[in-house]
Parts: sequence; structure tokens; C-alpha cells
Amino acid sequence: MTSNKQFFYVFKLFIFASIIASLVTACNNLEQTITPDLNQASPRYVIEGLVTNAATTQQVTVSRSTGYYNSGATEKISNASVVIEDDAGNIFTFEESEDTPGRYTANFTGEIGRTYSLLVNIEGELFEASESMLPITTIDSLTWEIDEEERQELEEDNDDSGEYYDVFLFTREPPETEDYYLFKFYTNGVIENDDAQEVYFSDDAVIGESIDGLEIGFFYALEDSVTVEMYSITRNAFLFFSDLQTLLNNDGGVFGPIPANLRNNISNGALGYFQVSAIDRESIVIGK
Amino acid sequence: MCQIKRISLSISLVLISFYSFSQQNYTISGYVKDAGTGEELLGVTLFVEEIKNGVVSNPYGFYSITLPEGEYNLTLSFIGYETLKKKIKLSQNQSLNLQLSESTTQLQEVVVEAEEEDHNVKDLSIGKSEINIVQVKNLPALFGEPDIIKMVQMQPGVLTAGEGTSAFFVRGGSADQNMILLDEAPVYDPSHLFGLFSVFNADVIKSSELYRGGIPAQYGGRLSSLLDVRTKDGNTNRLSGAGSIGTLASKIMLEGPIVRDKSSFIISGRRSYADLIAKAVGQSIPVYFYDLNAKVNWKPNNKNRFFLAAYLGRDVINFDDGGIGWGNKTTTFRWNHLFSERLFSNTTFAFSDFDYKISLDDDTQGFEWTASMQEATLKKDLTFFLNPKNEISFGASATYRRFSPGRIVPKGDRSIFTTVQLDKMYAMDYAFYLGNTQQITDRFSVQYGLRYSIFQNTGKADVKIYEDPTDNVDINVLEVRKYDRFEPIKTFHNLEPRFSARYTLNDASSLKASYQRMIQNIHLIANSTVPIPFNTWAPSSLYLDPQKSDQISVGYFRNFVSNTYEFSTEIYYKEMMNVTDFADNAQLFFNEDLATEYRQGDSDSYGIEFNVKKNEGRLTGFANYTWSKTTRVVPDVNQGMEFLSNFDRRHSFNIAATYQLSERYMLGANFVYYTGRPITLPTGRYEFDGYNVDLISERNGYKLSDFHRLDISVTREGKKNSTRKWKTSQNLGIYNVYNRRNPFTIYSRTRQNDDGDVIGDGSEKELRRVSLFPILISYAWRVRF
Repeated sequence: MTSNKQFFYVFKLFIFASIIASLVTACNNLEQTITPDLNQASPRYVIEGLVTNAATTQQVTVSRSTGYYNSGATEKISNASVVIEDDAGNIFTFEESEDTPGRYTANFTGEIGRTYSLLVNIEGELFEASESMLPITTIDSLTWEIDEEERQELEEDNDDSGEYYDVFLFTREPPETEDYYLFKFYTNGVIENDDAQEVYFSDDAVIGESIDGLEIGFFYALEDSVTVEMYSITRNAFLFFSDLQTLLNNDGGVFGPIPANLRNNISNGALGYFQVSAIDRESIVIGK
Repeated sequence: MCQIKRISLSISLVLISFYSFSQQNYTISGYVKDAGTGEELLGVTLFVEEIKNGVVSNPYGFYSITLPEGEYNLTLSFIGYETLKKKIKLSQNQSLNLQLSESTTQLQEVVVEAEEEDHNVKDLSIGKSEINIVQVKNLPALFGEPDIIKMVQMQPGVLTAGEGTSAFFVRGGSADQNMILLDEAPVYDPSHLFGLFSVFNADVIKSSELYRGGIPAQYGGRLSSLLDVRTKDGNTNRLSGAGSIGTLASKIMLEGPIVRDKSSFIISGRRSYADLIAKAVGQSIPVYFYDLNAKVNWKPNNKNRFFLAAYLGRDVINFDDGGIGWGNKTTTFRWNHLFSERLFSNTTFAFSDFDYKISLDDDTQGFEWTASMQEATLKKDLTFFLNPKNEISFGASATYRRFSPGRIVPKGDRSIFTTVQLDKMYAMDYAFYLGNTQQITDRFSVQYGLRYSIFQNTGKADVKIYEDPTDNVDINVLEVRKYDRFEPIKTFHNLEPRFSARYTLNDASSLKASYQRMIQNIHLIANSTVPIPFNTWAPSSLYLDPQKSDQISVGYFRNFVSNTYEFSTEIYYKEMMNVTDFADNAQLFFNEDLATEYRQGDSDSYGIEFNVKKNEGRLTGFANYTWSKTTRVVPDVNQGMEFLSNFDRRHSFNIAATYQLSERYMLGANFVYYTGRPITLPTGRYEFDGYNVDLISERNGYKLSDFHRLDISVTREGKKNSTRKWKTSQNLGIYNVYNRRNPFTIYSRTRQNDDGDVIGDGSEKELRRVSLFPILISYAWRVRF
């Protein structure tokens, strides 16, 4: 039958085409940026407060959310009244900074064990939050070491950045208490958080007592100054940072959870968080 | 009270049927087999001309019909088989095993004059789709691997989360609301490679049926559907087999008699080999899966048959410093016993296990995380073939379940981890059912039944009593109650009435209706659209009520051109209560207070389905269209306001067809079109501590753009050669022929260039649409002997 022969010919063509197609496939871009019309959410206030036992000046920033497609800095809210009261009855009134609108500061040092209540008044709208300063364990030491594997890899890639040093953290996690931590890592004073796409936090649910050389996950070059900050946070704050990490890395809810707003501790629908933390900080210079 | 009335109603209906019983009757019974392979055939219609009525062979191939003394003309018909006509003289109880031959008429030019099957119209079944395994093999498939789940996803009333997933959503139900049975043992995760393939190896599957409604009282345990997959028993006549080498996986199957006509076996293995190919060319795709199916049966006599079936499947991902693995194991032991020609019994013991393991080798961060669940079921199903007008089924089952939601063990001396074991959960589950299929008049038949299910969450357990079980932030445990082994913690009793009816309008058309209540007592802990293998399950408990659904459906069934075309349309309304959902931002992994994340709500789904099917001839296939809407209301989700369910797609259209071009060439094509699934997109953004955070205002407020795709395939049979014992065929497929970028999901990120570097000051965000499969070519070489 001739049709059979013709078909066999077509068949062979297909096999040839399949080889071509798989090459095409390799170059196919399966991800692209799109700009669907989005409803504009009505703007909401964002309050970002931080009280620590390490700073003498505490800071609260008040801003507003903006449309998803709007770029640039978001609107800062001036002329708000910002007050923090602690459980010893001390009242700290915040003043708006003259050169940075929307940034409010007050001079005091947080104390471990105290509970701080924030009250923000924006044109008659009141926003409240309350948070306790929990104790923090201390970082015993930081050490550095050459990562041979990384060094070889950089060599193969002709990368002469010299970033092949690991830094290790030694500490003790008190097993008798339920603790939550936030970490910040700085290299030569610049924060490391994958361009603001990663948050580093932990609870102690599955963590043992001795943290004996935990690799902190970045590669450093000789003479880099590395600083690790460890913050004590409340369960509330832990959930906020965990929600933040989930949202920053969401996949649109296919295999991961459906995106949702972060749980926080501020009343009246304001976004942001009022964080109160004790801090322990440790630095090391690679090669020294 | 109402429930008691319902029971007494069904009992009296059964009694009425007894009265109509006459003394001079004899029974003819036996098994219906494939003449070539000796496989028992289920669903074969056995029609008795004289009484214009018939029976259908049961899932084990058994039939029984009781008739007054006399001569009868029997007609046996089954899709893909020659119709068999047989004259019998009935003067005593008679055992008659019947054999059907596979039809070869498909290729003949002349239209077959013999009457085609009319079971579309005459059957009581409503909301049921048979997945034609032969068709599955001839249709184009992703990576050339025939997959029944992909065909299930194309049935009317069934939706998917997108291509490349094995999850399916039936009439507004979630993926965990499908009871997927492999030889009567439940399969908890039907996916390989996160859903690219299903666990079902097409070579060993004998039949698969999907019930979207009209589920008989014999089955329960899930809200939305039953996918009943049964494997072959093994060729009883001769040693034979099949194998294939495909683009991504290869498989081999061997079957044959152990003792001719007494016992046979089938064994099959499959493995993907992208990892091996990649390794050979110096690349790394460290992912593979394998599965093994094995079955033996022993039929010492017509009265007793024994089957032992096992399935083992596993996915493995190996990294340099760790690995991930997950898989299902199922074992089924079955004993079919005939107490008499009219009383058929099946006893099944089924065991299922699902587990996963994640491990990491590292000096300080090494750990091994395992989770699993097991279930063992013993059940007895009996069918009493009272008379041609009544077929009574009844039975009972008991199930033991163990849920091990997670255990973390440190790996290495310096690991920062400590051993943590989440509390195991246990449950016992009992069910009793009674049902009858009754022909009331020549035109009117009903099937009714009642299932009584008892579910017991038992010890050993330490159950936390929360001050507010819905507060997942400030968790306040009032007390911890201790329960001993098997001590009941909470017991749920439920009655599940089932009813379906058929009224024949004429030879070619009928009206059908059904009502069903379903209860689900095990809940998948997942807040994604597509379940992943690392999701665990939890039993109904103090904090989780049984999920319930009531569904009514009405359908019109019509055959055209002497039953060549089967048409049906069904309207359904389904109300689901206590559907298990989770609070926004729920922490579902390794959470000791998981109960505080549970939120149960209500869901409504309604729709209309149109389906047309052609089973015989050169062109076979189906086309269907479904319009449906599904909403949910769940406390603490979307501020408690109604939202479109993740499984809501307004329009869905599917075509699957094969065309026998010539003796050696078969063409196949699929086309699917559906409305994009709902998705939650950000509506704003704000700054927090240097992070650029999305603001969400509404759950599932947007839709992905429409999905459509065309796949084609051609199958070429090897040249006929009578000296050769084997037959080969080649299958070439093109997936997504016009290379459409179908949306899989959209996610939000800080704007980046192609290298992943943030552009500008990092304040700009962008939405990224992800597509999975461009045009893909697949090839498979298959051999049968």
C-alpha cells in the first residue's frame, strides 16, 4: 500500500523533527513577565517599629502601601503622633526626623523583660501594638574556614572573586525555653538577604542544645568583615517573618500555599510589625 | 427519626422484592472471560431476549441470573468484543462460563450490522465514566507514557490544576476527595515525579472506572469520586508479555499460566531513565521513579478463587548531600467464594502504605525526616442474585489506620537538630451497607442503598485541649488528655443514603437521576492547589469534623445511529459541608499544634455536562463540555467571605479521538480547552525593613488566561509476520502541537533581569507567568508477545 510507504516517510521526518524540536525546546523561554490589570487596593498604613536593647535611639517608620505596579519609594506619613509606653510606666514620645519624613525616633534603650506598647495616631486613626523583649542567648564565637569545594568550583569557572570562605557559628540554644530567633548577616556593613528576598529566622522546635559550627550559608573573601546579629523575637514576630518569607517566595499557590497577607501585631488593619528584640552581635574578619 | 424512616423504607423495598420470588426458577451463573487471555471480563452485558432484561458481570467477571424453566436466547455484548449469542435450555441450576473474542470488525469497511451495546441508555449508572485502556494507549500522551489519570482528567465534570499534574478535581471537589483504588487498596498519592506521570502502569490495567455520582452504597470514604482501577489477573492460556521503550520510561510486563486454567500470574516493572541518560551525557537529572506490579491468582474450582496483588512504587531524588524519596505500597488479598449459584461473596484484605523521607548529610545541619501512613482493611461484600429483577448487595468492612505525621532525627554527631516525633494518630473505621438494584417495570429501574459508617479516632494519644482551637498565634493549652491504645477519643456515626433511578423513554433514550450522601473522615493536610507528596493526612477528631456532601444529579442519555454514538447530559448540584481548609498562612509542616490551623467551611458546586462517545468503528473517541461553578466559604479565609474554589473553571472542553487509518496506522488526537484557574494576585505593595512586600486583598480574585492544547500521535503496527511470535508497534506523539504557552501559575517577585539580578532600586515588582510544556515530541517502541 502506497499510503503505508508515505506514512513511513513522514514517520522518519517526524523523528528528525523531534531532534530539532528538542533543541528548540532547550531555548524556549517558559517564563515571562506579564502585566495583567490589577484592582488597586485601597492604600493602607504601614508601621515598622523596632525597639532593641542594643540601640540608644529607637525608631518607628510610618508609610503607606501603593499600587502593585508603582515603583519607587512608597509614600511616607508625616505628622503622626508616635508614643511608646513600657510596663514600668515610662512614656517615650517620638519625634519625626527632619531630614527623613515618616521616620520617628526617641532616645532610650530597651530592657530585657519589659513589655512595650506602641500607640500611633495618624489624623485621628489609632494603631496599637504591644510586644515583650525576650532574653537572647549569646553567640559564643564565629570561625572561618576555606571551602575547598567552592574554591575548586570558582577556579573551574575562572572566577577570581576569592569568595570561598565559610563562616561558622557557635552558640547554645537553651532547651528549657521556647525561643524564636531572627538573624541578620552583614558583609562589610552590607546586609546579606539575597536582594531582600530571604528572611532568616528560626524556632527551636527541632533544634538541639549545642549549635556547634553552624555554617551560615554565604561565601566570603579574605579580609571581609562578617557580622552576625541574633535577635530574640516573640512567637508573633516569628509567625510574621515566617509569613513574610513564604510570601516573598510564593509560587502562586500551585504546590505552595495561596498568597496571603502577613499576620502581625498591629491593630486596626495597619500593615507592618512592631518588633521588640534583644540582640547579640558578633563579628569576625576573614583571615584574621 | 428521618434516618430510621429511610432504613425501614429500604428494608421494606427489599422485602417486597422477596414476595415476587417464584418457586420454579433455576439459576444460570458463571464467569465471563476473554477467549484469548482468559482474563475475566467485568461489565459485560448479558441480555435475555425473552424477558427483555439482563444482568451485568460484576467486578470479578461473575454473573448470575435466575429464570423460570425454559429456553432462552442470551446475548453477551462488551465494548471491543464480538457479540456472542447463545441459546440455553434451563431445566436445572446451571454453571456456564462464557468466553468472548476480541472484535476484529473495527477495520472492516462495512458498518457492522450487529446491534451495538446500549448500556449508556440501559444502565443505571449515572455520573460514571469508563476509561478505555486501549484508547489510552493509542492517544497522544505526555512524554509518550500512556496514563489513565490524564484520561480521567479529560472526563466531563473533571478538572485539573494544569498539565503535568496527577491531581484531579471532580465536580468541585478537591484532589483528596477522590478515592483512588488499585485492586481495592487505596492509593494515597497517585503521582510520580510530582504528577508528570501517575502510578498506574497502563500495561497491567484491566479496567478503570470513574464515578462522579451514583456511587453505590458499597463504596464510601471520600466526598467526590471513586476511581476504581483493577489490574489484569494474568493470561491463563499462554505465556505472553509486553514491553516498551519510551522517551522517559521503559517497562516490561510478563504474564502467563502457572497451572493452566487453574492459576496464573502477571508481573510488571517500569522505570524512568532521564537520570541515566543525563548521566551518560555528563548532565545531572537526579530524579527517577520505578514501580512494580505483581499478581497471582488461583482458581481451584468454580466456587473459590484467590488473588494476591501487590504494588510498589517509589520516586527518588538524589542530591550530592542528601535525598528525597516517597512512594506507595499496596497489597490486596482477595477471595471470591460462591455460597450458591446466586450468592456471590468477595472477601478482601487490603493494606496500603504511603511514606516519604527527606534527608540531608551535613556536619551541622544533617537530618532525616520521615512521615508515613498505613491502613489495613478487611471487608466482605456479598451479592445475592435474587431474581432478574433484584440484585441485593450487602457487606461490611473494618479499617485500621495509623498516621505518622513526622519524625526528625539528627544525622551526624554535630547536627544542630534533635529528635522530634510528632504524635501519631490512630483511627478505626467500620462500615455496613445494604443495597438493591431493582427493576420495577420494563422501563423503570432503581438502585438504592444505605451505608452506615462509624469512624473512631482512637488512642494511643495525648490530646491537647486548647482554650481557643482556632487561635494559631497565641496557643493556650488548657489540659492534655491521655488516651490508651484503642481507647476512643471521638466517634462519628453517619448514615449515607444512595439512590439512583433510570426511566427508559424508548430503545434509544432514557432519563436518570441520583442522590448520594458521602462522608469523608480522613483529611489531607495541604493548602496548595496541587497536593505534594510531603502532605500528610489526619483523621476526623476533636478538631476535625467529618466532611459531608450531598449531591443530586439528573441526566438524559441517548444513543444515535443504532448505538454507534452515545450521548449524555447531566446536571448536578453538590453541597459540601465541613470541607477541610486551613487558615491563611497555616504552618502545615511539622507543626505540633496543627489542630489550630484547621478551618472547615462549606462549598457549593453545580454544573452541566455534555458528553458524546463513539466506541466502535474506525473513528472512536469522545468529546465533552462542562460548565460548572464552585465556591467556598471558610472562616478566617478571605475574611470569611465567599470565594471561588481553587478548582473552579467555568468552561471545560475535551476531545480525544483515534482513527484507524489503515491496518497498520492509527492516528490519535487530543484537544483540551478550559478557562484558566482562579489565582490570588497582589493588588498592592509596601515596604518593610528593606523588603518589598505584596499586599493581597482577595483570594482567587483573578483567573489565569485560558488553557488550550492539541496533541497528536500516530501508532504504526509492525508488519504482520506469522512466523514471528511477537508484534511490535511504534508510537510517535507531539504534545502541544502549536506550542502554546499555557499558563501554569503566576508568581510575584522583585523585578529581575534574565540572570536573576535585581533591576534598579528593588522597588519595582513584576508578575511572572510560568508555562510548563512547550511542543514536545515523544517516541515509544512497544512489543507484545
